[in-house]
Amino acid sequence: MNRNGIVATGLIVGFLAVWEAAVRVTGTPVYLVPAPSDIAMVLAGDVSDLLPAAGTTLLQATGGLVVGGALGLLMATAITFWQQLEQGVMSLALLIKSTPIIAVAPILTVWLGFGPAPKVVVTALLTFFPVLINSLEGFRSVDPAVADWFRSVDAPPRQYFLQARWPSARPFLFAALKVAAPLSLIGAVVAEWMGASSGLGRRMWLAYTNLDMPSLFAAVAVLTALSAGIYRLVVSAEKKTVHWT
Amino acid sequence: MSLQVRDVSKAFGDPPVPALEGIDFTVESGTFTAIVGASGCGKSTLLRIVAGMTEPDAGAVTMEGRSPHDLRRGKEVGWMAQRPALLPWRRVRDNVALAQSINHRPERRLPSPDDLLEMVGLGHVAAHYPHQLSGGMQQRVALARTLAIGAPLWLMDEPFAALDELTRETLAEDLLDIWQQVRSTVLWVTHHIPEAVALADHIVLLTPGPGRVAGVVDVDLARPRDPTSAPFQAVVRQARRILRGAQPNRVVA
Repeated sequence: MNRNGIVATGLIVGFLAVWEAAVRVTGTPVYLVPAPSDIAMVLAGDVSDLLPAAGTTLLQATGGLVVGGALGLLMATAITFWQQLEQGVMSLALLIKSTPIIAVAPILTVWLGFGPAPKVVVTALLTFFPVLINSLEGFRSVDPAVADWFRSVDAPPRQYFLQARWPSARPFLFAALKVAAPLSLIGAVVAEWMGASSGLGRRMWLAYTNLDMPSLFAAVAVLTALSAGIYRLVVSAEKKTVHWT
Repeated sequence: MSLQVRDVSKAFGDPPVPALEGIDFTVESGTFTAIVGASGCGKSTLLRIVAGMTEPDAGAVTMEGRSPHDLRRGKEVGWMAQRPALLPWRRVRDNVALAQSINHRPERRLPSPDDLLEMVGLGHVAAHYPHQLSGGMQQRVALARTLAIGAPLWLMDEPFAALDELTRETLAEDLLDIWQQVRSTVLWVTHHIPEAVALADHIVLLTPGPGRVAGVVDVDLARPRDPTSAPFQAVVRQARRILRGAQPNRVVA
């Protein structure tokens, strides 16, 4: 572990120790703030339930991210080729972005049921916008000197897109994914709160209604770990794919 | 292929600010012509018009009766700008190869990217990425890429201006060596008179903006040229005299 890793681990351990001590010393009841040791016991004891729940949430979040990301990318590509689409697509995208997802999720649950479909749709709605905006910006970020060179050889639009616009957009796309990937987990959990037969969101909802704070915190801890993991995955993919920045 | 620039004018903005007015000159096939003038005199605009990247408001550019657009479509223009404009995500060899694969002309027999890189002295870095090279090396790659398409017309917009003096001189010498083998028609933009005298057969001098042709100097000196020689200095002085004569009158308070 490098120096930064040691510092980060030290900070987390220190924070947990202060938390544990504060709960013990003040005698705070577990239904208000559970101590880290209480949460750890739930994590250890419920691992056989938590892992499948986490898997369900992760799967739904990934599905939504793929759908939302693909739609965002597709629309940004369409606008790049046919600029007259921009006003219409951007108005629609802004409408989706401005609609509170918490208000849409119950409607989608009523329409699509308690299965994965509403979770995927909610997540797609959340992740679509950052991918659209960043991809569009990326497609337009081609260095003017590079654009001039492509014009000098009369590159056809398709070749210009594949050889100049697409690689130029990659850093922007990863910037979007760094936001959208953790966001996808939030989308899936919010949708699961509105009605689901499994998933971390459902576990959180059940724990909340039973005032079972250790279970609620345990689910949050798993969600946080997933979010950090998915973020690291994106960063690692970026390092491999965008090696020139 | 001789290049004819006929009465070309261009203005920008609203109200229009003239950048070029009635530019008229001919570049003979296989010659090296420099366009020299102060910053803002429209040199780069003129080169972009010749490349068909900017439309003139009046006048025309033709090469053997063909428009700049036709030339670009036929991949007959080698473009090199001040910045090398290499693709950072492609290796050096792939940057050169891309020039050949885009808008591919199967009828044209072209040297391989590796041969071109050898020609510019960079065979050993073919597998590197551009950011691993110095500025001078990147411009050499850009030169190899310009050569890669076998274009009969090279348009070069101060390609070595951002480099240090020594690198600039070395690159200019190498470019001249290559050009003397290939003999494409070259239009070279610079604001540096000695550089123009060192390289070119003819120098088109532009007035400060709006750019008009202040005069054309023929450089009748054998290559390689010695910048310290009296004939070289005489041509530099002649070009300077023409440009100074073209300066707008200054108001002295």
